[in-house]
Amino acid sequence: MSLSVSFRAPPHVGHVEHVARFVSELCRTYISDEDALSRLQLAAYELMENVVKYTSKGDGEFQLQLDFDGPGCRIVLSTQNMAEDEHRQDLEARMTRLSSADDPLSHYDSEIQASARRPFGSGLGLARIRAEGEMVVDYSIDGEKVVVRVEAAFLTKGQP
Amino acid sequence: MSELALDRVVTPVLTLEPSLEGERLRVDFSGTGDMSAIEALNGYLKRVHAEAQRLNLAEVICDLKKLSFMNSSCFKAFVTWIDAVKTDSRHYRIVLLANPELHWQRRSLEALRRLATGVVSVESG
Repeated sequence: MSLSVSFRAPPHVGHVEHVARFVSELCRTYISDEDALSRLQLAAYELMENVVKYTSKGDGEFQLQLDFDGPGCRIVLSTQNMAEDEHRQDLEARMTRLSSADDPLSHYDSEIQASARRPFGSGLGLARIRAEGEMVVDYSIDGEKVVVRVEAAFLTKGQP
Repeated sequence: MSELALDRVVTPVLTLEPSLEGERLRVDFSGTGDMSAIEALNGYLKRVHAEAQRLNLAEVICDLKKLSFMNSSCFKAFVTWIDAVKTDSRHYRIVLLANPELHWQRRSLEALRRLATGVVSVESG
């Protein structure tokens, strides 16, 4: 069984918390682990905030997909938006570092250290999703279009 | 000891309530650290640092038990503050009080503690 929900709208800061809460509440139907729900909410929040901050034109899109498989489910959160060249290059650089890191937690710690004296922006959102959210982060860039996708497996209700 | 020169701050999403308890400054956080709170939080933590130095305080306690969420930009405001304390010759301790029911706090506050283990401690309960 699969379930998917899409949200598409012009970027608006007010959407961030609503979408993040929606993800957590919808997933609560299938997942009882409060820590897992908190991780999903954090990931949705950071992804939506990036859409609001970096969409250069047009709508931003958010998608939630749940694929049920045996005792659990795989949850994928993804966003899609147009972004300026500067932000696409920044995403590429961050993702290269993130993908090549052996240990997500050590990578997160070094990104935190590096962010301390950066004057603008935290640049920590995706590393935070990887380390705190314990989700795999992937991305693609096609022209001006940026797709960011995060996923993880979760136990569903009634499973040990 | 001088009087505390730090006011209560109220934004639409975040409230910061300071109080002086002997040689300790306590700040109670409530609400959400979202995009609209970044500027207020950044400025406030700079003033907290200045006050802690001016009053030669031993400890700053941040009670985060009523902080429902903190985005990565607000998280970075803490990173910048902790880094400033860590690299300053006059250290004071930072105690972060966590709410165990707010699961994000366990990982996020632990990451802040790792940034400066000799400066930051996390107490949950």
